[in-house]
Amino acid sequence: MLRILAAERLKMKRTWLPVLVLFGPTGILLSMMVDFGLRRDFLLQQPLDSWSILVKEVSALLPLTLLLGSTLLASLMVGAEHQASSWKHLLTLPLSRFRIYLGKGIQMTGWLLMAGILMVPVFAFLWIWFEMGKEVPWGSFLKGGLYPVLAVLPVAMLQLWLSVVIRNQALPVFIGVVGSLFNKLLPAWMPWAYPGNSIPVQIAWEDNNPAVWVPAGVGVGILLLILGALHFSRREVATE
Amino acid sequence: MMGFARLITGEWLKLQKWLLWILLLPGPFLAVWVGSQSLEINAYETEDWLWMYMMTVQQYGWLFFPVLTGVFAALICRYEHVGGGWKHLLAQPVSRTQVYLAKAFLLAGFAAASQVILLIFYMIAAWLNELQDTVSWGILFKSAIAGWVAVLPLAALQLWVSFLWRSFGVPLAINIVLALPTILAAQSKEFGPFYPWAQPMLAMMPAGNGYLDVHTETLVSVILTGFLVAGIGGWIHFCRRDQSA
Repeated sequence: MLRILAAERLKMKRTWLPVLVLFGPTGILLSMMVDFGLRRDFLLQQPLDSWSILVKEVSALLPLTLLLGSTLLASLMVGAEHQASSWKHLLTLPLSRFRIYLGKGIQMTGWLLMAGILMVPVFAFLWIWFEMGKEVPWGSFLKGGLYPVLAVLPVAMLQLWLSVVIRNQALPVFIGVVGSLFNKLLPAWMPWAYPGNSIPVQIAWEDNNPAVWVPAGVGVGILLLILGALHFSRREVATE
Repeated sequence: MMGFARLITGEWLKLQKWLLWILLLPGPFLAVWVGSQSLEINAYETEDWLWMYMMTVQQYGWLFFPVLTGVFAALICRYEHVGGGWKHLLAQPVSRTQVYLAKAFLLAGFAAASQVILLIFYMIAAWLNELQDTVSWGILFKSAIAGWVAVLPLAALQLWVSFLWRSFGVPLAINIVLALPTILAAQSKEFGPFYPWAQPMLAMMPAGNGYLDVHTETLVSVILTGFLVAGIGGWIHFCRRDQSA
């Protein structure tokens, strides 16, 4: 299993994945620099503590970025195998298909977690730059970055499966985009709604409840990964 | 001219038609659905039909329409990238300019189809909410056409990026990543009109409702410049490029 993961990592070395993972937090940082730069005083006037204000502003972008990012990650990771027709090479190796698929899923989770951890310096930078308080609440920053990531796992695993099953990546990407863009319309139990409802502060909007949606995200994510792997191990891979 | 018509037909044949419908229908449908849902929260002194249309456009033009155009651009180039089709296509006795134009025409056609479908869904929703007599069709048609024109620079840019990269995901990733700042750009009077991904929504918003009154002249000149840069750039690059794949 470790060797599969190492091989996967090697394959991703010269691709756009690290760039994409860096792009998310950087983009959020720049957007928030503009947002707080233009109206810091107005934002900090709100009758909330600074951390709640910060995370509330960030949550206008972070869940959407994670949803779209998972879609793109899945497509970029798997699309290369489709395009190089390398499935047949990969699957003739004496490796269990179940583990190959698991390897992809674990790798994808790793990239997402990295993006979540990168949110900590982003939060810290904004906190210090805009002088939001004396003490820096690192623990809250970590929660703010990781909760939405854990909650996005079901969508990530769903996109992984779609990207593997459908050769033409236009379709999985499109499904991911529609699900992400309209995530606020969906009922709370749908996976696309989880990240937006996992903001780790008390916010006066309904359904936001990290205590429910973060564990749900992890659980459903693992379930979907295993189901996908089972399906993949039984499936005949059409190659050209 | 006959050759060109046949090229377009050829491009059309290469596409999977069922996929087109799947791509074209859900976005406008969901956007109109959101629009009709928000009739209940019309707190301002806006006429109902206009409010519904504005809410629809906000959902549709803001990210979906630009991203959809990018998906179509990638789709149009996919056949050549996957099967090594560029060398076959370009070995035919047709000029590269014609190949480029055929693909561009088809892409513009898909963008237009999306606008038509949006209007059809909107009409159905207006009828269901018994607003059909109050609707001012002139504004709607103008808005749909303006949105189509505003997406053309983006379409040209996406076509350029799509034939450049063999990977399908990369052009889409670039498109989506650059579409996200629209959330902020569209709220800024100075910056918004100059951001290609914000232009479709700004062009489609019916003017004079205090949303964000961008001067039509500004928008038109920016869109025209963008279209010329992306279109001519992509075209020249396409003609000169060594198609090795």
